[in-house]
Amino acid sequence: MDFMITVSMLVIYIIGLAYAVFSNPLPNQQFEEFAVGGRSFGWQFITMTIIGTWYPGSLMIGWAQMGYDMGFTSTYIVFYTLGGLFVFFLICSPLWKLGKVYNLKTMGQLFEIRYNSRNLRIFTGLVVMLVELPWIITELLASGYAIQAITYQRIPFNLGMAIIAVFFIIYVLFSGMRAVILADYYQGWMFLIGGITLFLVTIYSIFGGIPEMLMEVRNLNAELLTVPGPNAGWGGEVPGELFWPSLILMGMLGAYMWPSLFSRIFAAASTRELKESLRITPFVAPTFTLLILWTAIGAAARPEFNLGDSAYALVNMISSLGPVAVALIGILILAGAMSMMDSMLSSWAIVLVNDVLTPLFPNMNSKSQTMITRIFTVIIGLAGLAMAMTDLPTIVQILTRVYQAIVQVFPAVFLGLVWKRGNKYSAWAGTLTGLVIVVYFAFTQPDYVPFLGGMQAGLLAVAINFTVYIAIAYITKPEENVDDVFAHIKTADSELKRIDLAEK
Amino acid sequence: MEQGILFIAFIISIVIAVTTSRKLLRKNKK
Repeated sequence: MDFMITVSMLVIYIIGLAYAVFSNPLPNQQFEEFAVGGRSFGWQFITMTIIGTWYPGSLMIGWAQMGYDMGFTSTYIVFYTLGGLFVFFLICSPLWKLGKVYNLKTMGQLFEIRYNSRNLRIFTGLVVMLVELPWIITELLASGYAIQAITYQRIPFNLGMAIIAVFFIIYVLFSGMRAVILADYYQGWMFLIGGITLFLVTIYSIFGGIPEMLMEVRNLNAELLTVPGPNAGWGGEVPGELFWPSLILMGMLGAYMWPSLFSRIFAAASTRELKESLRITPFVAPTFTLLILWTAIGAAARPEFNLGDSAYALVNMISSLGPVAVALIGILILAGAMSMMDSMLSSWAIVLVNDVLTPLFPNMNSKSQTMITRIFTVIIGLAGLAMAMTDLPTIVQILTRVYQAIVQVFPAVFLGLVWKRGNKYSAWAGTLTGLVIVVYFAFTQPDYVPFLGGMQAGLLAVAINFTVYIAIAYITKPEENVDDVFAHIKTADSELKRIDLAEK
Repeated sequence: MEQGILFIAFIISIVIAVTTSRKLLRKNKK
């Protein structure tokens, strides 16, 4: 009976998702339509797609484990979600306008326009994609686990992963970014209503309320309600008081540099739609995160749900409520995983074609770009699946270590949009310096640097990156076209005119 | 009771997502 309930709910969910996506085909096969949904989406879609992509399925597994083991420290995610939205607010308008004028689809292309450097476009395109790569494996593993939980182990782990992978590859092939946005919109509602209800019901039925839950946590282990620092009472090796703020700052600066989120800005219909999406996201996104993390911290007060691995304690606790709860938490993990993987898959295929292949084969037309992007979608999706099914190759382990590299593109993106002096030399020098420092510390002190008060090395790297960028910009000349670029940023949306640059 | 509340929330999520997305897409086209 339980099995029937959970599987029926999964089937209903998948049918709804398939209907939402497949009832809306592409209006044409142009690359702009496939890559950025024809720049046509309103704020409601942008809001939900940001919420959908923002939450990985592993939030309810790996990050819940951090809540269970490290308590309040894990809430850095709440603060950086909010801080990230502030960064989004700062960059979305100039970025969208340049996107509209120059037909931009990726960060690499922005760099080529702003810094007049094709090599910088190819380099950044590859770097941001490689840094994001390990996520698809984490998320495939999360979806394999979710399918296993929903079907009470009747569908084996690898088969569950494969079913989900094939499903989202098919819908990304069907209509690219349009499918991603429609799927994320659908899954965003599941977070918003299904998710918030699930976590509130869990807290109230297991603990009797949020205050009661936090009291239980305090009575069991008061340290879980503190953040690390020399006098916080943490036993053993303590990261230092700058560890927690640096996690927040790093997350905030890097938030919209991930290619899967960056490219979403271009899908909006106007700068107004982007800003209107901020009416809802700053409220909903942190609320949902906080509820998950509080429930995960609460699970620490109920050790009976930790069946050997604290990563699954939250899911075990929720599952104790009955089959509907099992299905709902499984579906939320799936929704998180799918809405992130579809975004990544389509963004990477687009980055590869747009930033790497197009500059090398400038005669490619728009329809060929769409076709080759579809081929890459299949190749990348299946390669990710193959990697997730085997022991992680060394290259993925290395990439996992250098996730702080994503923040190193922030100075060149941000200063490039607000400061005319920056040029290709400053962008290259700043970014490369930041990357070298990150890679060095990734292999010496990957989590935090004790002599910097526990700060993460990526933050030191980004500070030096900013300094180098500014210093080099002052001793060299600005780019010749910089006034044109900034004139577009100051123009109203309705007066922007498309400039078609022939690929050189 | 919890099971009932959760199931209703699940169904409401799907219904709102499907109906509003169709409506908004029609509006987008105009």
